[in-house]
Amino acid sequence: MRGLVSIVLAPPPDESRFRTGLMILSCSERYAVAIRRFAEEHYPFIAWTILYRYDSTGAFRNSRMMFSSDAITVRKKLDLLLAIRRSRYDVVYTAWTNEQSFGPLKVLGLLSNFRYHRIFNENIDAFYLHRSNFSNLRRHLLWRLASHSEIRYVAANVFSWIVLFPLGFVYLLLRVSFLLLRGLVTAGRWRGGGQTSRRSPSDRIPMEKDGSALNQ
Amino acid sequence: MRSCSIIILTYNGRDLLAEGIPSVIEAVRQAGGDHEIMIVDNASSDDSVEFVRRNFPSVRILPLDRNYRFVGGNNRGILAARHDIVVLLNNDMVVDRNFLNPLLAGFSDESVFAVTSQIFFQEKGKRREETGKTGFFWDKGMLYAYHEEVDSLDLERRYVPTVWAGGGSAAYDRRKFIALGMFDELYLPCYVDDLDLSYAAWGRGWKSLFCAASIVYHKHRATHVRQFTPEELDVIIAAHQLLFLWKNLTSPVLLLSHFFFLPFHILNQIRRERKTTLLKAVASAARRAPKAIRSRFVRRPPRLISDRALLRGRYIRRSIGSGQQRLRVLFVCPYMPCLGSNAGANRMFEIIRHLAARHAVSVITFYDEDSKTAHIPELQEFCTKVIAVRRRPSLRAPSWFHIKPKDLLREFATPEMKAALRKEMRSNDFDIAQFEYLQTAQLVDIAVRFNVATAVTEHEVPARKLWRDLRHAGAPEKLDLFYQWMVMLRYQDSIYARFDSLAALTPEDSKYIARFNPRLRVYTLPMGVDLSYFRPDSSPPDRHTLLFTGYFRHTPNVDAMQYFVRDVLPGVRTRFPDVRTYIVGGEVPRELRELESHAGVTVTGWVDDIRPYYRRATVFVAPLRLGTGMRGKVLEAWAMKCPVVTTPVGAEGYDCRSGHELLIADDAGGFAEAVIRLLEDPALRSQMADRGYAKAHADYSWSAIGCRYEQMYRQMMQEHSAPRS
Repeated sequence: MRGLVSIVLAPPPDESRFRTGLMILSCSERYAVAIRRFAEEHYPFIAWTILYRYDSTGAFRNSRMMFSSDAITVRKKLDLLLAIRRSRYDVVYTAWTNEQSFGPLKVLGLLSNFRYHRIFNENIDAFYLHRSNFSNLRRHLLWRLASHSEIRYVAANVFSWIVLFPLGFVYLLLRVSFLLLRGLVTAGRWRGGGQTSRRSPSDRIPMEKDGSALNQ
Repeated sequence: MRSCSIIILTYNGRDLLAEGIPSVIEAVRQAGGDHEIMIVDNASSDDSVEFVRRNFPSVRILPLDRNYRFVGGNNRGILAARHDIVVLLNNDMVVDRNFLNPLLAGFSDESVFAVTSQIFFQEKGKRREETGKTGFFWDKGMLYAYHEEVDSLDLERRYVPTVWAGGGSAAYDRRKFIALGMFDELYLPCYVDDLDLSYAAWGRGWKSLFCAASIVYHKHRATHVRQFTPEELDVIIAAHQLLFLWKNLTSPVLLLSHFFFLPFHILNQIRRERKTTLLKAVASAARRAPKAIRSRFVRRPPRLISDRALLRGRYIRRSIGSGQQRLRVLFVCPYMPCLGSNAGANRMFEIIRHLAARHAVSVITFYDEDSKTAHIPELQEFCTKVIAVRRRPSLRAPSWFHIKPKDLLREFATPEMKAALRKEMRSNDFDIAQFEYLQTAQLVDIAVRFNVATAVTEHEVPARKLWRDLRHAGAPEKLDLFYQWMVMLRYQDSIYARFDSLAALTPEDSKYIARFNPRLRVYTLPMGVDLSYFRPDSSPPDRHTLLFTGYFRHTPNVDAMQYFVRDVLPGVRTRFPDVRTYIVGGEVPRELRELESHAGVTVTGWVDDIRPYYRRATVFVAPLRLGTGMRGKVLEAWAMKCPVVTTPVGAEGYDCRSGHELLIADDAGGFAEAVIRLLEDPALRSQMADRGYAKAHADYSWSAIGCRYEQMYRQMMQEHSAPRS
């Protein structure tokens, strides 16, 4: 049994039977380092794969791992998700550390076709997303609601996509149309790549062969 | 040498005079000439006058009937002075024996209003809050004035422009001083009067200069701490800065922004610093506001330079900057400039090395892994200063309207980098701030705020790269990429518009940038190669061996190899089944590692030295379809006398012809044919390798490209040296 249904229907986790694991480092580096240390100390028998965000964890780049989430397009993100789902990990670790901007990775964790899913908070306390831990999950969510920050950020983000994004998109369209129009006008002024712009005397600074620069 | 009157204003400072006057007398003796030393006494209640009269009979004394404070006392002294140059000294200054001549030599032309000395504190170990070399910047309706660090280049340059000449350690042209209305009594009891006067002088086109060779030692605020608490002094300074703006700003836009932002600054200070200094300063300044407004109408020489040119422009910085032989350049890099990592890092390193041979170059760079800090000593060998900032992405959402490239902002516009850049800008008067890539270019506002001329090198134009990606993408991806292209085009256009000069690596990139904004000044400064490192030897290459080198975090390199192995290599293998392909370079991703399952393909990963691979290669392949900019790998192959087959994208920026220095093929079949042609024909290989080698030597040495950078900088400096009114 795998995926989200396993949260409700799977038997309680037997950690000794885990063989493959995916660590989704949906958190900043200090937490990521702590989670990784925890996993490798307590479960050395699990073959860990680390999924890290391209920009966030330079410290992990040269270590044992498979994925980096530097996919910039929706298509590539889907490819990544499918690759992870095909890998059928026994356990998936995700960090829920009350930080902004790691939402997509957390969602990826939930969709990752896991057998068991374990989440970590900022104190590196962890519990499995399993029916036996619903009280823990409830407490975690209430704690988040009380401390506001992450929930407020998620709400603001949703608001920004629904309300502000269309406004931004219209602005983008107008601005890019203007730039393209200006580009077309400028292209008419172009003379074979020799003149870069009205203000530019030249697109190349001429050089003598010995390396000394000439006046233009 | 011109003669001067040295005016020392004092109030109850007998002990300070006892320390200071002998040093001034000694300095005058050293300088020679007919100089006057005058003590202006603000009606001291101690026996200062008697003390000076008794112990220093050569010193002239001007006793005043009451305490006219700093402003009134000095004004009266200047009116009574006998010479046209007046040197104002605080009574807590001890001067260096050689301080006078360099100061007076600064009045070399008619446009010099003042020359100020370099200040050291008398107390050893005390933080050097003031140096005499001053600057200011305008931000959100407020003016921030500060002292800059002094370095060896200032000594070499002898005289550098400074925003204001400090009233306690500077020489003034007396006629100009009087013409400008002298120190304004608006600033009683002290502070900002000197800024006000120097600002008026700059507005008239008269310079204030800093002379590092003239040295004074200051017992900071020795007089004022007897009369005011530090908190009171802070309020006085803040109030006077406000009065300065209210009196001097003529630009309605700047005035409006000042009054708009002022409440925010007050609230910010209360909230963040738990201080009410600015609030008290506003109250204090408001009481004197009518006087400040009246001062606006006092007759002064006509203003030639506008507020905007002085506060936001580069008039002061550039007033004598363009003639400097050695420039002070700051490089801002998105990753560590070093050799052997990737072409971009190589280029940054080589350009910095070249420029540092003739200029004072400092570097601020991001690094993403601790191991990268090992390269800092290499840079320190020739750089003035190297600051490395760990790249820790900011977690704040940067664009609620989703019109900015979030990853770019999150990853590179980090608070740590902004703080480091701000600190460097504040403490050094850079002539040029050179940003590398759009990643760091987005921090340009900090340099602009400090009136530094700015340039950016765009190794790969991001919007053009996305457009190229879009053309090769499948249908569902196109929409996504199109949105990202719009975001990037708008963003890069808004960033580039703030630069004085832009440099792209290829004419195509230059053209693309300039097309969307014809006002930009765009140069093409191509890629280079280290010809002393990449040298061929006489050993023959291996049989039927193909090579590709690259840094595989750069996705166009990954795409190139996937394309080559899947679409081109089968065609080559039909003619040469034993052909071997080496893919050399670090940061190999999973999809590239999987290519090793194809026969004859070896993915080496990172190697310490790639030259043996070039030597063994029969043909170098660069089947690039994506990305923009100039590919350094082609140059390396040329320098190693290795024949090259590439695509039009791979040959972009090279002044070459297909069939002459290299072979260019646009599709998989043509590419395979070109590779086969070279593998079959040793004479053609040799001919092409020789021509490529000659081309690399003729046009692409780093020294030649470094010279082009210098040329660009000179042009930028020249442009900014002209006054703008």
